[in-house]
Amino acid sequence: MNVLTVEKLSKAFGGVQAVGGVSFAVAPGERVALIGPNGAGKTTLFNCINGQLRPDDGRIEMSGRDVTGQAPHRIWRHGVGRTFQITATFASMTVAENIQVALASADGAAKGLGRRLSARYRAEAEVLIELVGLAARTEDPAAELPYGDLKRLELAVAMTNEPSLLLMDEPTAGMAADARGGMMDLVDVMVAERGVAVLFTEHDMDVVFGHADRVIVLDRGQIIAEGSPDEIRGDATVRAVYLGTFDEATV
Amino acid sequence: MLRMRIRTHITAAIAALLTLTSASIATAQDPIRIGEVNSYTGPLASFTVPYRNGWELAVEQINAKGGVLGRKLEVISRDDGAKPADAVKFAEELVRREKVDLIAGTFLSHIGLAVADFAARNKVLFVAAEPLSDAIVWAKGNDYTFRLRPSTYMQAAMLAEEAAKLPAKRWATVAPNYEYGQSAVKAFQDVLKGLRPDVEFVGQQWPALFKLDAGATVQALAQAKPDAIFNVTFSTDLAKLVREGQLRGLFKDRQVVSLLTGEPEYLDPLKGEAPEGWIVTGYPWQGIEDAAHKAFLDAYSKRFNDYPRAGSIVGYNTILTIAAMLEKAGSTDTGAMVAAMKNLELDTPFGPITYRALDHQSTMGAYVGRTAKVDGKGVMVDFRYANGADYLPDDATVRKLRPAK
Amino acid sequence: MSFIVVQAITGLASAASLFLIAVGLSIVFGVTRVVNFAHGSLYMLGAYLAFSFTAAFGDTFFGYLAAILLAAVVVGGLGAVMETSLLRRIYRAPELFQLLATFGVVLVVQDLTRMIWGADDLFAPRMPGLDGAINIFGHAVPEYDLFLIATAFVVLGGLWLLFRHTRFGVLVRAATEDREMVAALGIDQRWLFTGAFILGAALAGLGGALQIPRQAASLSMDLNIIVDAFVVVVVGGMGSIMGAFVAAVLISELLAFGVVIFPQITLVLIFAVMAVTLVLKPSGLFGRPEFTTQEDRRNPDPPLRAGDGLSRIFWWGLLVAGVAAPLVIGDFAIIVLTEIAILALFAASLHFLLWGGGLITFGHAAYFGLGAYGSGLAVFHLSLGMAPALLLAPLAGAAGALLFGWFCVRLSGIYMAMLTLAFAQIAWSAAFQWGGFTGGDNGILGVWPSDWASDPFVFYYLAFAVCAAVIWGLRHTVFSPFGYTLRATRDSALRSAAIGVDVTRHRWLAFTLAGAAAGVAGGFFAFAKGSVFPEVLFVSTSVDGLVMVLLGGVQSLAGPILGAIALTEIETELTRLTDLWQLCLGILIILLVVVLPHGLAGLSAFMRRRQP
Repeated sequence: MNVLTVEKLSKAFGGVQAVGGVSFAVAPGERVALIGPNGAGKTTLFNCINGQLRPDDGRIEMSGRDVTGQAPHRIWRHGVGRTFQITATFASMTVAENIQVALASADGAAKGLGRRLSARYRAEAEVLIELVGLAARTEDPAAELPYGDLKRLELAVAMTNEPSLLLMDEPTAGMAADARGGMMDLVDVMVAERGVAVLFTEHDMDVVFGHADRVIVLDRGQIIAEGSPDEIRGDATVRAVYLGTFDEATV
Repeated sequence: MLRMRIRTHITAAIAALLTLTSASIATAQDPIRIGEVNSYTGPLASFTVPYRNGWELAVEQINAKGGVLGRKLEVISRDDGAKPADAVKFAEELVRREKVDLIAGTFLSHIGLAVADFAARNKVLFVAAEPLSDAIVWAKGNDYTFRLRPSTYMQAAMLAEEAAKLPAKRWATVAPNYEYGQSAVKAFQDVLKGLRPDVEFVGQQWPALFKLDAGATVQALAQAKPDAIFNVTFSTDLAKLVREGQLRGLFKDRQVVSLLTGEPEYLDPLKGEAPEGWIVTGYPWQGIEDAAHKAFLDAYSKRFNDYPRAGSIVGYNTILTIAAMLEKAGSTDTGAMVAAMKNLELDTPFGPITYRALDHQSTMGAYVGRTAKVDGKGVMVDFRYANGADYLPDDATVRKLRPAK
Repeated sequence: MSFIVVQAITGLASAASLFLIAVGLSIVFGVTRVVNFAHGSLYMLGAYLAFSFTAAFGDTFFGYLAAILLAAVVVGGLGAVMETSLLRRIYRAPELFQLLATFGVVLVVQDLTRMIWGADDLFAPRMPGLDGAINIFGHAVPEYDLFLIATAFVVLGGLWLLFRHTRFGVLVRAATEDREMVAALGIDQRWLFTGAFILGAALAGLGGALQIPRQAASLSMDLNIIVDAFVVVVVGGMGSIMGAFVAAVLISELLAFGVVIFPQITLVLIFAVMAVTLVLKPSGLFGRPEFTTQEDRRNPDPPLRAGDGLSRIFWWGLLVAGVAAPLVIGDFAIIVLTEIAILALFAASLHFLLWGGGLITFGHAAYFGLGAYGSGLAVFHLSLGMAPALLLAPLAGAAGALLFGWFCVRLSGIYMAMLTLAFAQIAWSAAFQWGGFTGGDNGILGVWPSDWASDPFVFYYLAFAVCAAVIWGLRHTVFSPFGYTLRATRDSALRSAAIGVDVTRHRWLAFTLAGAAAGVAGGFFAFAKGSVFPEVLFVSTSVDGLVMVLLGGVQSLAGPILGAIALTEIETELTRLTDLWQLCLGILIILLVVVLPHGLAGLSAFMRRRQP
């Protein structure tokens, strides 16, 4: 069963059709990149899937369950982890606490008034911290982390509910070019070790072609091409849409 | 008491180290300490500062003559900032830390009630000087509280008596929407209806205190087409009402009966726009000819280089009351003082007054007259002194109003 | 019919007054994002100055007009002083600090005005040439009302021209719409802010000056107008001039006809309008949603540290002191100590929301007051004893927080602060005017402790034990998963939702929990004072709570307790010493915000920084 199925999804803003009847699916363990020029509807589509926006029409299923129009915190309960274009972490907490809070929520204990959080989920948190390579910074405040480490922390937080799907909005945005590969290698580790599927948007074509199993190209709210990185690279329509930028990236 | 027991042990231990020198036994030289609480800061200062002058004058005069029972009077005064919780706190402080013999004061009714309740609880005598609320001596009256100033009911009854003489049949009322306004309107209606069963009340306006929307309220009053109006608003609300009402012709060919408006505190700020011909209660200090009042007026003017307000008389009479009570009681024992307060008779600049044993209300009255303009300023004319004793309900009714504890 | 027309005109005249005061507040907020509590004080100063100027040269129409305009100009100048000396230092401070600093200015101006002009109401003459009335449909309408309406339209038009056709105006609009953009354009924001503030202050002064032909200048003008002005600005949308205009008309007309139809509930009406507006359109009629409420990275709190040596010593020391002190201090000191214990809990419950959840409430008095009324009414109506009445206190506080919180937690930042204030004022109005049930302003008396606890010594230990236990509970909650999750929603609502936290519901629960804790404090307060009055629900009680939290230090769990001790002692002693205690307290608050933003708890860090 697919971890994500999107059927005929539409969303308009005041007469402008941002997403017009888009359908696609993501299989377990699959890495799918969603690309397109600015204004193509990527962000709208993404926000419909993650619950930030309610679609006008269409249907979203996660692992066979209809989740259309559900709020973000409920989407998460269906096994979806998220990262953001600009990282969103808890600045006043340490690296460990960031993950412990998420683990508490995953455990359904977010409203617990009992034992202190610092004494709970410690071992699980350390495993995730180790996995993303932040062991040396376990007790540091998130506010003091360099941006790249923050991205790793966010990935660890997104993994706390053992998701079957990671939604990553521009996972390498704001990172130095040489650090981007490392970040995506980490994502690949998650896919390999934890069997998670990844749907991500990305501007850097090296990242897209190096780390996606399948690429979906969006333009003016419609899917104009879909296929393996190699197929997309050779697609004339895509070339037309992307003009020079795309050529540059493929050189 | 538990506290005393624990304390005894500790004191014993400390006593071994310290020599106890002070014992708080009053000697003839120690002054009699009067605790006083009122709202001396903020917008209320224009009412309470003349009141403070009044009691200061009385204290000075009495002490100059050697005090009472051979002891001087000392007033320890606190500002409650118009907050009842703070008034209670300072009452506690005065009683427990300053060891005052009795407490006095308060202006706002609810603060008076809070302190009265405190006094009953702590078995301390409280002479409520200024608060007007009927509840202080009636519904919530208690054994330890006595009130000086003529109450809302008494002053409303004085006006209702005058109102009954008017031909007006259709009455409208305007009063601030809180206890004082509500009970004033009720008392006025009850007494007037008793005297004149043919009157009807055709309109009521209840602006929020100090938030009178003058134009709209005046318009709404006019809309009711009354023959006469009973007003309870005061201070800034009154000023707005008067100005707007005059402009809009609300008072033209209508009688207005207005509570407290003749007191200098409320009449003087209106200056040249003071209404003419309103029937009011108040304090016409310029025109009272009694020798006792003359003496007070001269002393006050000399001491403060200012004329007295209604509050000044109340403050002055408060201390006169306490002095007379102490003479009668012969001691500062609370039981003796409370007993002395009952049926206490004394002379004041307003003439003789009595504290009724029945409900602890003094019979101090007020002047009832009409407003007029003299030299561009509002004054009271054609006034008479309305003795408070004549404007209280009969004893049986009072007994019903004041539940026995 | 003619009555309706005339009443509508009357309403418009009130609207004109309200618009003039509100529009200045709105402009200042739009540009500087500071909610200026002292705007009402500037309005009051405008009235007092105009009173003095008209006395000097207001005998003719033009002299009077000049007096009004001069008052506005002088107040504008005072605004410049206030902006450059105070506000400029606190633009980067959290909203609450700004609100408090300007509240300090209110206290200072209040006492200074009393020193200069005295406490008596000052009634200026009417405006020469406009002192009569004209006949409209058989009703007399004051000429000055029409002048006021015309003035409002002139000001509205003038502002429109200013904002469309001058560089300053365009920049003000740009700053209102997107602050970062103006900064990015490399414009010196300082003169823009100062200019906007002068304009706002002058408009407040003008509004006040224009009032003197209608009402006396009095010391209660400042607080009387400011809450109404807040309501207008919030209903119209913060920063929107047109919004201020429409809201002023809406509210004034509602009141003008409200007094005819429901003369008794006018106080509630105005806040009800605000609550409904904020629920339906959270950013006001013409406002745009704040999109910068995302996490603020400039100054994140350090992570929580539980029980290191020093803090352990502090907490145990406090406990020992609380237990031992009554054995050695005097009777009255015990009563003050009882009050401190109660207010410390009140402050701690506020701190829990502010710091633990980033929930800015300016109406925490509501839950404290509901607790007090819960107990008081139980004694009064049900004749319950102290123990069951005290049990009702947290229930009453929680019930109020549950109801009000449902609306409040949907908003954020300054809008939330204003809505919490509105609800607290509604509760206050209800208590004040609903005499039959609540005892009205005469309050509920006889709420004294049961015999076994009537000794102040015993009552202190009872209050101390319960308050200390609840404070400890709140402290523990901060460290529990619930508290961390709440902290998470404060740090990043986006991330919290993305890890499955229902942010709104979590905040709502926290709000209710804090309401219950404040209710406990309120219940004890009622029994400590023996009575309950509407004042416990009033905005000044909320401000006291905030001052305690900020005085103690908002970033420390010990802060509210230190603050309660300090403020209670300061107020108790200051009011004994001087009539000018408001002035002293105001200066203290201002200094606190400017010099010691981390409060007493941050004092040690402050001293360390100072050392070379």
